[in-house]
Amino acid sequence: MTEQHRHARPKSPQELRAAALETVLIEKGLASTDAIDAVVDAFEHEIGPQNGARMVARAWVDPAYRERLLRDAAGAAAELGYGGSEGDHMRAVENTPDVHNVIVCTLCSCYPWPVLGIPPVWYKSPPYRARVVREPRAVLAEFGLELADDVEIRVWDSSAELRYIVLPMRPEGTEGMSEEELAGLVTRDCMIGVAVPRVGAAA
Amino acid sequence: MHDLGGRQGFGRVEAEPDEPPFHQPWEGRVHGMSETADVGPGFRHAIERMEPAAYLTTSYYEHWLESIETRGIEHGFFTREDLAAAAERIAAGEPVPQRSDPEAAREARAMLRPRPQSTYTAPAPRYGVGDTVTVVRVLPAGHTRCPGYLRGAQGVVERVHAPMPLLDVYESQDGLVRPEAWYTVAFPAGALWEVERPGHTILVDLWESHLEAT
Repeated sequence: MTEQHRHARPKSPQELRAAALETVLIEKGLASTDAIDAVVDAFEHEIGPQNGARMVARAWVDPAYRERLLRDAAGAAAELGYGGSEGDHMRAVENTPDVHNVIVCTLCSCYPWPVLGIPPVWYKSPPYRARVVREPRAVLAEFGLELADDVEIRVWDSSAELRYIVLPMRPEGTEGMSEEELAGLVTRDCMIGVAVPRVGAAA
Repeated sequence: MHDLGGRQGFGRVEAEPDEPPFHQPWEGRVHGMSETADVGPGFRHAIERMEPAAYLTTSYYEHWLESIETRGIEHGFFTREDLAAAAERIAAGEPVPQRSDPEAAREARAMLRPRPQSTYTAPAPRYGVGDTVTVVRVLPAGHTRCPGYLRGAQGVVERVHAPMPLLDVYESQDGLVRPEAWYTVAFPAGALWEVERPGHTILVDLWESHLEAT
């Protein structure tokens, strides 16, 4: 602990409350500093949508992997070393010219952490959770995604033990791209289903 | 208040560009505490019991803070007074104490990697793919994984899953494990609400206790 930390007083009520809780958990032997550090470090440096993007790109170039991903997404994630908390059971749902998938958790904020990381605030917020099951086209339009009327929208409400990830369609004009370049097209929002990959879009 | 599916009156979905995993360091600490400190079952039920206005006006990680505090107190791991006394010391400038436990840190890392899964036995599933089912109208007291917007709705079984503990009883009844079959069920949104055209499909994972034959 540096001098600076020692004297840094909490700046917000939430920070004070969290520090008080950590103090009690440490003093009662219920938590350890390094275990908490390990979790923070993993989510800040290892776990995030780049993991899911690698799986999507692999599925685009390797039909056998795509098949495994659609059959058992947790198994396909484990092949690349991803899994664990909030991703022990996962299902990939595939967009096609006729079907567009979007994921939500109306009761809470369930999300496939190992492959997409911590959910964005909007995913956890009441407007998204309340509205996307009822008016998905209006919500997708707010993200700039307009779908043709003949595309069926499937909204997956993650209410039990499965966590969902959308397998988007590979965009046109990507035939010569490497797997790594393809992964760069796949944003977090594409795997939630509120966007689709576009050539030239930043990951 | 948490059962938000289909509720009206909320505004636009506001996305934040380049959002970090944790907006403030305390959020990461709360995530780490929640994943590693065992203060008993009932994580979500503790959040769901929050006062509705507070639920809607506090952040995700404030919900988590509430859950760890509530369960820790209810299960006798610490008291409200312990938290208040610690807050006083922190506010006066004391640092958060440190404690090293390399084994716990190793376990924390292992939890965020592929890991073996338990299997459960339960009576054979009562429904099969393609069966029409009706969601129960009478929801259980306490925690339930059956969203309220589906009460009484008819859907079609899209997939049957191997048994897992019904989280309604696990969360509400102090970790009681009661495995049963569960299903992904497809509902035409137009059967739930008057919806924008063309209609869409909602797919929800429901345990057998949430369903009855049609």
